[in-house]
Amino acid sequence: MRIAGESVGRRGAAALSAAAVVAALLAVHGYGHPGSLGVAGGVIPTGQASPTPSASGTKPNSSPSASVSPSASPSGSATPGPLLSSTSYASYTYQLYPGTPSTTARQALAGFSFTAQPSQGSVTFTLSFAGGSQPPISKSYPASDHIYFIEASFGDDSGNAEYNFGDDGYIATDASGHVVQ
Amino acid sequence: MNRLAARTGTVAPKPPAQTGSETAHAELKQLVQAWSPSAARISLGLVLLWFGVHELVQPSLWTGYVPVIPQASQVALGMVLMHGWLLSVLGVALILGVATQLAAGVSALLVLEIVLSLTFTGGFSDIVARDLGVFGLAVAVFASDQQRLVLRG
Repeated sequence: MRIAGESVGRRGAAALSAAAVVAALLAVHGYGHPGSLGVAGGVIPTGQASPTPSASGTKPNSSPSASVSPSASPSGSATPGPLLSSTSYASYTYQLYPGTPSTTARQALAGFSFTAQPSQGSVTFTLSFAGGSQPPISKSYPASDHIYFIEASFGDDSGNAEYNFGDDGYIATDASGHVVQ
Repeated sequence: MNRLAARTGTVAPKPPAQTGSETAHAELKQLVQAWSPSAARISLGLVLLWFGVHELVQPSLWTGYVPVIPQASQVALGMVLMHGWLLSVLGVALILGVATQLAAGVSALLVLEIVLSLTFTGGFSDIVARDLGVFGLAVAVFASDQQRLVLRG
């Protein structure tokens, strides 16, 4: 058998056919389960995460996504969730507030910018998208809360460009490290 | 002794004897020359297979790279899946050494398209530089014809 002038033996043709079938099956699976993202409706899935505790510590296969509804009042009455350190997101978080973001955190923020404005016991956190492709997300938290940016993979960041918003998000914890739900 | 030497009665000069390190260097170079085309081919295949499978398993992580089309659209999702399928098949073909030149040629075109697309949409970046290297690797595999470890018959 020849393909474009190159001879392909039976084994080669069988191997390629098998690979094509397996890849097609994976594609069907991928179409039904596109992976992370809550990109439905074009909303970039950046917001508060509600991860479940995981002992595996493996890379999260779904990015944090939740309804992002800017609120004027601090979320102090929210029920605390699991400890951030016990979730699978822990190793992908970079602290933004309080304090100054580290160099790594700034790299993780590629494609985003943020402000954290403390006022009267609360802090208003605003996350903006580079180029203004999406409206900024703003929410208030108690000043004692901690806010982290989540970046699962740096491979899709380039300079200040973010090619994949699907693995980015932010998460807030209370002072004791529990995820604010 | 060659003809001239026999006629003139002189002895042709012998090449200088190689030292141990020179011999080892020559052997290493020979070994690398013999295996580098295969190493390049298999490396390229692994790269393509990794990206291909990842695109198939988590296509939504890749829709941001589809130019022009909105990231959240089904069209972008479908294009990523087709791209992932093609990359996977090409990766397997390269790893097994089946239709190597065709697979490497198509791979080079695919990577070139990615390089150009990213350059036009976001300028020259570290990602573009990295993909440019993969493009060079694909071209080198396309041009090489001394492959080992290939599936035959």
